[in-house]
Amino acid sequence: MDVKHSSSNSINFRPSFGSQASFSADINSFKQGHNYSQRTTKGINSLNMIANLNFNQLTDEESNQLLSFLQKQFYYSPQEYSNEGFFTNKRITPFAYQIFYPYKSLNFNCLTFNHEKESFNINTVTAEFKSISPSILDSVESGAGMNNQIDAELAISGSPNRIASVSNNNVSLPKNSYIFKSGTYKSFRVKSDFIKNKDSSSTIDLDVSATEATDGDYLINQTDLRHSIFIDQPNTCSYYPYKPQTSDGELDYRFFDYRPNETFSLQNSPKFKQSSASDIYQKYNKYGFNPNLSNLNLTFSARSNVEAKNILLFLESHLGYKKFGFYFDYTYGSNESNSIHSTPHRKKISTFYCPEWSHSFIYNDNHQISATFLECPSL
Amino acid sequence: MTFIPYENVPLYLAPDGANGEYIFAESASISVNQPLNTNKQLNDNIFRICAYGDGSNLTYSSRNFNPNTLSKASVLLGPVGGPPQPLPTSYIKIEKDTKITFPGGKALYFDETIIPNGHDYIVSVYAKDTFNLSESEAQNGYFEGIYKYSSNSPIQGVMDVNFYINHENLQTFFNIPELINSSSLSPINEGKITGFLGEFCFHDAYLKSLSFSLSPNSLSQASASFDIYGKLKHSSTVNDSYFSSSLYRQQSIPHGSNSQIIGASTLGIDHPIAFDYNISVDRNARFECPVDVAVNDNSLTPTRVTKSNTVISMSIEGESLDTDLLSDGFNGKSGHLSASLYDLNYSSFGDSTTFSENNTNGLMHTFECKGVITNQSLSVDAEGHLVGSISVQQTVN
Repeated sequence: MDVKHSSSNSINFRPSFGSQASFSADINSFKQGHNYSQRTTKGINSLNMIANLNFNQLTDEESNQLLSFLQKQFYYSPQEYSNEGFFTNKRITPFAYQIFYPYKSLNFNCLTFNHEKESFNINTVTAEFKSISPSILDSVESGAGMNNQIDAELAISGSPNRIASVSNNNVSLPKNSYIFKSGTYKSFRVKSDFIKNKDSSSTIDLDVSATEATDGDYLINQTDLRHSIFIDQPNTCSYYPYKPQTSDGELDYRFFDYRPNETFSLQNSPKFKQSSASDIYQKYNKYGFNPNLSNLNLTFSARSNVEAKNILLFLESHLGYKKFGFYFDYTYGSNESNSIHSTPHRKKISTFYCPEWSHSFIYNDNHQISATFLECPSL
Repeated sequence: MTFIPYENVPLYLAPDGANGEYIFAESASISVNQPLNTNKQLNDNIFRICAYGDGSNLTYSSRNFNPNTLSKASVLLGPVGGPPQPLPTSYIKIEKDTKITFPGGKALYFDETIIPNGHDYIVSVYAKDTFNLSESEAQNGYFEGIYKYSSNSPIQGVMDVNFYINHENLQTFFNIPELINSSSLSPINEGKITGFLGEFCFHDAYLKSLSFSLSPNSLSQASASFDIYGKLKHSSTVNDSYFSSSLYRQQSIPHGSNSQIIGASTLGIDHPIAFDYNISVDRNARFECPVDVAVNDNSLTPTRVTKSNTVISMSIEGESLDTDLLSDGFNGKSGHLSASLYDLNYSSFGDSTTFSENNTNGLMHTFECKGVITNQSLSVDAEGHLVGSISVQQTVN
């Protein structure tokens, strides 16, 4: 039993606040001794997105249009064999829809939806939109350090008129981007759009005093080659682009610099070996190195539009299986030198991968992101 | 400083996109409530110094601070050995001179006001005392910034008005069950109201309740409550026409003397002495997620405010009550009350230069409640008479 058919061929309504997008990665994990593991993606379509959208307080006419559109995706008719050699009306055709900030227009199928009538002319429709075949090949995001294929370089000189020479790739720096001077952690805000082709020079408008020393080289990953699977306009996101520095040298993975909520709960379930010789007498042995890997369920509440977008792009660009560094509570992490505690699980820096996360648009400029960070020790 | 007196604070209401009118209000108030949560983040008050300088050297060297010669320093934040970690984004601002306390009573101070942006790996600090900060001490700084707050739900205002009903305002603004277009699929009027309270203009106001009372020989005063979702702005334009408006001419106001309550006798009361009317409605707003936050702040005002669960309740007081209710009132004994509001129905004419009164509009409006009896009571005390009261309630779709 379907609603009265309407002629609507698209969704003309915006979801209400509280709608959510969830992401999960299908990955293969190769377990090695001492809790070491290697992960790899199962295929190029392994990063999945499902949007749970609420369309609240719809009139009867509006809910009718929405339901009619969702129902008619499944309308079946006699099969027609095309000249190209296939049936033309078999597939549940994905439709394009832009769910909410910061996501771009994507192709979805809606396989589950619910209609709730609250009162006369007041309806709520909840729908689960499944992104169809998102490809991780659409993620073009530089890792830690320079990637000659996709990154660009700026050489800035002079003051107060600062001239930036672009090399390697075209630069696309929207205003309010941050750039980092090579060899330092010094950042400068770009006050107006700086979108220039490579091998060109132009004045760059930085939010600094006239006497600030800005001369130097800058690695820029905001180029016109940068691309995201799900996020709209990824170049509005800025990160520290170089390899993270330590007193022992550089790291070859990026660091997740965002802090979760103040409160946390961390379940400890160390791995151990258990004898199976007898049901009634059991003996427990130590497992080996890295017995107590952390499984963090973190919540990042009350994040601004900009910060939420940065977090989401960071997680997406690691595709659910790539590792990154992360500081948990300051009471965790060894404060001893690596030369004293050289066993992997006592290292000062912990690395994680994030196989699933979800994002809720709570209200204006207020986002909540929940993420699972699984510890993966580094050799 | 000037406090504006009551007579210079008009209340003006207008249906969206139409002309409005001044309301003869005895009192009016607007209040706004914004539910906010603090954005606290893990270790956001811990100040750890990774190294001094701009990050080109991450080796920590204990440093002597001296207010005369070596007071200022650029510090790279994060645990010793790195990688550095930026300031938390939970603060809307860390003010200049904010104190950072270290063990042993040592303290540094922020050298400039910082609005954290997620990229502040380096901050400038200074000392007021002479001391040396060791590596372990530098890991245990503590400071308090000014927290950022975020709104979990819409900012919503409430306007409460006590006013005198007249011909115009009742039909236009205070008629909750009004039907505007019976030929459309949705005949219920969910329209919004724009208005002024003094020089403050408000938008997107929706009527939520209306109530009034009647008793012999008294004026009928009503109270109404609106939910407000739109912006509140200062504008002085409303005062231009206030003193020449119809509000300053003779008002025809309902009065208990001529008003009629019909249907009370079937409920056992032949001589009503008081009457209360109340109508209320649930309002729920739809706010939509934007796709482009840079250009769209329309998400702050609702795209629709629904009207549901309208309930009308009337109660009367008189000399008796319905004695049959206990025996045949299961599932609600039906009751039908109607109140017809009349003005005093008199006039005194003078010439155009002297005061004249015209209170001859007669019937102004009839309120009805066709529902069930929900409550009855009998009471008497040493200084009064036996008084019965009956309440009738009606649910409107």
